[in-house]
Amino acid sequence: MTGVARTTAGARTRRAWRAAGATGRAGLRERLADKADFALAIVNGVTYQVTVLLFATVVFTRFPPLAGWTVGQVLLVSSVRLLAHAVFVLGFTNVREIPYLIRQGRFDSFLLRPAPVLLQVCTSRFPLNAVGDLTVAVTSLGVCLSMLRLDWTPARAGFLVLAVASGAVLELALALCTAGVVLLRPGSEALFSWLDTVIGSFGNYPLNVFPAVLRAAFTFVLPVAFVAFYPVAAVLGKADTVPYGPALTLVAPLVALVWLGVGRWAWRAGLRAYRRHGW
Amino acid sequence: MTAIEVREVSKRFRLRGPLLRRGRQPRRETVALDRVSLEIGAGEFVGLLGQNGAGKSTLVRVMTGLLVPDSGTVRVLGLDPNRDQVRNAANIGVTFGQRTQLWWDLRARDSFGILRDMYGLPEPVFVRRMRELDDVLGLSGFWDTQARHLSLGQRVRCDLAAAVLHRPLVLFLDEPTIGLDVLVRSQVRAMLADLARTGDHAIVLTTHDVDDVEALCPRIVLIDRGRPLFDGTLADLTGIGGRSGTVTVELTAGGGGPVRLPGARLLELDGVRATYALDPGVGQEEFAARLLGAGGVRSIDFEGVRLEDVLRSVYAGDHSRLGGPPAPVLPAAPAPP
Repeated sequence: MTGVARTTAGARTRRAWRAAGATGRAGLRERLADKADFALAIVNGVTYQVTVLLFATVVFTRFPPLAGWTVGQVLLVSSVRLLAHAVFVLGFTNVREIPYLIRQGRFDSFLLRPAPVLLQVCTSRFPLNAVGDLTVAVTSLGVCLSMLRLDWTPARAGFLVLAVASGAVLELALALCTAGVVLLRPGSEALFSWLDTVIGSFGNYPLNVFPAVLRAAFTFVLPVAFVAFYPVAAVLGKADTVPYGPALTLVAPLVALVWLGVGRWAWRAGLRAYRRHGW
Repeated sequence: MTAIEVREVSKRFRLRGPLLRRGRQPRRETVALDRVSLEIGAGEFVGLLGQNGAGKSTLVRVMTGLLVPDSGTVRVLGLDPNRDQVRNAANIGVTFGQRTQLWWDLRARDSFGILRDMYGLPEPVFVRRMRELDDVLGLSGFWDTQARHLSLGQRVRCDLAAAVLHRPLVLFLDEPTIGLDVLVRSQVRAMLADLARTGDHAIVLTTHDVDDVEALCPRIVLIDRGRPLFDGTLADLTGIGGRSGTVTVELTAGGGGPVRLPGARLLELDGVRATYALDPGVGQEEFAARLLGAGGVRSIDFEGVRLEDVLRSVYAGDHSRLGGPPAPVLPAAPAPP
């Protein structure tokens, strides 16, 4: 016997996007339901990221340039990291909400609706704080680019855009890996906060300032340095100053894609485990 | 046509022990489902019964694709509900009595609109179905309220409407009337009876409310400790294992009416009132004809065996009423909706 709902791949894709659009609009309407909550969420995003930037600015204006990186150059690393983070938050931050979605019973309802689960997770709630993140990141990027006075070529500008996209993809990939583990083991949900802290704390600064063990860890184990540091080094023409060779400044997009593959595998494995054992 | 096919499905849950003592303790597992096989035809309305922890909800979660069995296969309209999640979801509707599937901060009507978009319902069809559902469930009085502000009864009715809006061919209802007052409960039953009358939907109802089952389910599957104990009609269950109804007969005074008759056992004789237990296989009409044929009868009052009584004794561990040991399961003939 064949399934009643036999459809082509194209029809399924259209249906998935229609479903994503419907849940995305619902997520936005939910956030707009209370004007005060709406405003506070944006203010929270701005406040958090301004605090991070203030901290970085204070640190680097009180100390001499570190490992040959000026304040403006360090701020470019922070700004690209922030912008990549804002793009990630805008599209995918709800992945970090999975433990709450499971406890509320909403995750199970995603498994019962005709749309991919990840799509429903990502569109389940509009990330208002991304508006604050984006505002701060774009402002910060504008300020530090004006400080740096770089010669802009199409290649340099294109690579900067690619760097931001790679950073966002890397954050998504790491969030998917974490989600896979959390779906497998409920007790591991604190990993989301840990990941956020690690990227937020170490991703804003040049890798050169860290001890060797952290340089290796953020390059070869947890790719924090590829979120902003390595590609920004290429944009600034400082490829020859980075640890482990200048080639690494160009491979961030490739690293992001490889990690996305790993994240996809981890997500699917986590989903299978959740369906096999529950939570 | 088979709508749901469950073949030799087993599911165990491992219970995690305390970390420090794990080494000295044997691994503990609980068997939620033990080689369950079940077929439900299109248009059937099946009541899935059993004690708390018997495996009903696990079976529903397996049939909906929320849970993957350790072994065995499940097909819903020919699809594996786990592997074909998206396509299967378009065919089924699900309600869980304790949890809402509405968007918590939105008006209930907005949730219906989202589901319209998600299932691709044309606007005229959506409007017509909402009107029909409103007629039966009385939704319009509160569908402009945010889901989180709905009362339990209002929320359950909205959840039910959301589950059937796309006219799923297979419907899983887990405790749909739990905690509802009698009025709302009767509305929900009326709505489910309407659905069943169309004969288009295979419906699986999990409940502890025997009134729901008696009112709606021609077929019953009774589960105990992960194994089906019984699969048949409501009449089979209440009449199984030699159990039958009792008959109280009022005899005419001094008329010398019947005292002993074939087809029934005299339980009690109190003046002009005689109470009989019908022999297995003897119908009420048949025995009434014998009584009337014998003459001297003033009134006849049949009282059937109540489902609640049977369930109570089965849950207490008495399987004798089911005609013997728990297995094997009787193959069920498709029953009319």
